[in-house]
Amino acid sequence: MNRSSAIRDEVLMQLVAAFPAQVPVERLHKTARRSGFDFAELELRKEAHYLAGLNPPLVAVSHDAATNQERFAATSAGVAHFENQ
Amino acid sequence: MNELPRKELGKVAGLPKAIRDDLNLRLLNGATLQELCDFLNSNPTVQPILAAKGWGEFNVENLSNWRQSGYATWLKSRQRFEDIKLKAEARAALRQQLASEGLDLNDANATRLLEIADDLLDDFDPAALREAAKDKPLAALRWLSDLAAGTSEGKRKAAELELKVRRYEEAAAKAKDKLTIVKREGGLSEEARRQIEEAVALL
Repeated sequence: MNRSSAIRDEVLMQLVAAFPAQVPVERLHKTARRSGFDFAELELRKEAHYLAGLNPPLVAVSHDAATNQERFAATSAGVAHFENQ
Repeated sequence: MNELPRKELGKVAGLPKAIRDDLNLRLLNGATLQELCDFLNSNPTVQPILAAKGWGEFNVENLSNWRQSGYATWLKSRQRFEDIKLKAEARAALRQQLASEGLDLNDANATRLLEIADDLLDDFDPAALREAAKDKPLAALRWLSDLAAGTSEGKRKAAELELKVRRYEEAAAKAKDKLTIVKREGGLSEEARRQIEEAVALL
């Protein structure tokens, strides 16, 4: 498995576990680091956007107006994809 | 740092996900390797796959290899997933509770409070707690009890945990006393054996 695939798997796994909550990239990063993965925040954000750009999108992106923070959440297609992986 | 996950190779890895998941759950529930072999070799979905790939029937060694590789990875991932899910549920419950108590979650102070709570949750590592509980179960129970006492819902659970700790301590002390008596008397009387069994049953 290459690095990008591993990061996509990690992002999707975290978002499905937190489903339907919206998760900021900082939390994705912190959780991945705690489990011993050296993924950078930028990499996680990039792969989360990749998953959001798929058809159907596996991840939904939203903006918190109060904090101007980008948040990610798994879509139902994302949950189904994760369960059949 | 962890290595990137590798694609599993081998006979079991070549089976459909539904069957692998079924197999992993059976392993988790304590099925023996021979039972798993029988399960796979009698499964109507597995036979055509084996025939198509020109493989023979599953044997205990195939399953033993899977237990050490694919199953171990699956178990670890499952544990991580459950831990993350637990924290997400705790976050959602906290937000719901604060909102029901009339707190405006968009208020700057509430946002800060939630950030602090989120950080506390992030720092709570269930895997580390499980490891610690193996060596010092009593200390882990006490720690959980203290943590639970911090929330209103947790007060009842804290009392329950405290009771368990006390019962554990009492039972351990009783068992220790009995063992001392047994050692002194040079053997295990019927009465002492019964009392030890009662104490152990309390644990």
